[in-house]
Amino acid sequence: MTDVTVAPTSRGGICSKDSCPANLGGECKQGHDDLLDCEFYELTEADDEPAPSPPAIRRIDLPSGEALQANELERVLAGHSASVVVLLGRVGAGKTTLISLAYHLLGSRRLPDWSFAGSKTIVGLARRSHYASFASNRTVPTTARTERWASGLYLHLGMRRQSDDVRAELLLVDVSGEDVVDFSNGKAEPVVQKALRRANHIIIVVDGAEIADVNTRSLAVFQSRTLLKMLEKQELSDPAQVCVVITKSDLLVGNEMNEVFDAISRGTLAEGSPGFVTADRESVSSDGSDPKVMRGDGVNALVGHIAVGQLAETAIDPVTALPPQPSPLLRRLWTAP
Amino acid sequence: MSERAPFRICLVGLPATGKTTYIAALWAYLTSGLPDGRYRVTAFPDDPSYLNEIATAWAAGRDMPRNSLGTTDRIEFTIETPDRAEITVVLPDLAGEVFLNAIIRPWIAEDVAEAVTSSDLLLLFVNGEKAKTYAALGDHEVPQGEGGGLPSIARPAAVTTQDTSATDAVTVQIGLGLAPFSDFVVEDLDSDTLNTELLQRLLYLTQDNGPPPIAIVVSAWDVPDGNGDTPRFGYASNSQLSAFK
Repeated sequence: MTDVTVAPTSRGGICSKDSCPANLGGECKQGHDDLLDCEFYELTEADDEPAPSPPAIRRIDLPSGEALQANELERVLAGHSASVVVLLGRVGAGKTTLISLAYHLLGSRRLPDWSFAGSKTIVGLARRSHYASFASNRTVPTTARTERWASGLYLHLGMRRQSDDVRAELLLVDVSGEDVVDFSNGKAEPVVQKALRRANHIIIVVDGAEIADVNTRSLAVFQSRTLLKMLEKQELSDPAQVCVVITKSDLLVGNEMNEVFDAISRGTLAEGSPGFVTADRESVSSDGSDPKVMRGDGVNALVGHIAVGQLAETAIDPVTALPPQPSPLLRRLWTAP
Repeated sequence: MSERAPFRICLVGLPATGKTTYIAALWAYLTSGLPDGRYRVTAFPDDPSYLNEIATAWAAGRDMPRNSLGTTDRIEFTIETPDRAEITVVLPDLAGEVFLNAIIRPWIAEDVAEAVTSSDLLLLFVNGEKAKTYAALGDHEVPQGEGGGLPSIARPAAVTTQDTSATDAVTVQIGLGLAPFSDFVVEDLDSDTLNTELLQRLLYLTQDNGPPPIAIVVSAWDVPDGNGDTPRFGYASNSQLSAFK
């Protein structure tokens, strides 16, 4: 609790020397420390008696609802376990958009298997979603780039499985794309490294727009493979699971996402490692020949994969939880010479 | 006066969600000369003028007088229930701005917190007429271009907020006949998000002794579409508040 006194202080008088700075709140021109000692200074009638101080407002601080620092997690979660999910991808790949999308699909009950169960960081999530909303007065949805000062903050999502009401808690780490690029380039990147040490899940986010463009596809695949290889050098938590997510699937056609996933995972991820394709907006072909892509496609499967992993890890519901997912990459990393 | 401990009800909610209207309607009902066997007032407040004023406004269909910021007037009266038990009801009429500020600042004055934490029942008011949920631009269906191939979706290449200067943004939007872009402001959030965050902060305040029973009161729920859907249907299917069932 904090006491706050809302009381503007007043010098409470006037100096007959018009040019004296004391009239403007400054020092006495005659050099007196106490203005009352000055012969030219006198209290105005209204200020002869000191004005009564307004009562102090005793206040109780509340949580801000913003994204959390690592040192706030324990207090805010109050002992509840949560899966730490680190999203890694280049600038504009859709990491923050994916977090916002999961929040709003859960909140609007549009995921078939999971529903929203509260969040300790609603303001932080809403802040990141603002430019993709009508409230922003924009015509084209976008997501504000995660600045470096905000990189590595945690966003909380509580989820409840529709079938049995079991709860799962996710802590999504919003990492700046610039930090990820530095990490990919082999620079010691403390924000990424710290997040990876806590990670239960690592999501490699691949920009679907770069995959859709034949001029950038190869580079995007190469960069994703580089990122995966850099993970091998890290000290990951056990059991950290790695999966690949290709975003913006409304821009992809045919079978290219499967080909891309194979190209990224070949030699970097063990066979059977999960891959997801997500869409943050709808699209439909004019002649109806292409399947319609719905906003949120792939998100239900992705959050389900992560949450089920948490339920298995923490044994919240050992009866209904699916068996723990193997961690092929981690197993390979730990057994590597 | 009853010797029972007073039953404290705290009405919470954002501005203009119907808290004062509820008190006005309740007072008008309780003082309407109900026959024996119904709820009726047996001990009046020391000064019922405020209650009478708002009840009169309610009965006349006028707007409720707005509470001033920081108002914590105690409204206390005793009612007799149908089973002849007497209950003293304490109803502080708190201004909605108090709760909006609790989200924006974020802190709450101790006397307001005391009203919340000492209550036996929390009524969280939601205005069904003005309720809004998050509306995503990405929910638009965008038709494919005539040339076939990739959908001609309105997706800018690597647009970020840093790439667009405020001046350009305003110019472009005005050129399209639209309002200028707006930045994120907590108090401008949709009501569903604000109500959810308010509820979480109330739960935070009451965490030491456990929260009292909380009921969500949807005011003006019949206004939005007039299709007869009850609040339970509408809010159970759309609101984030359902997370706290």
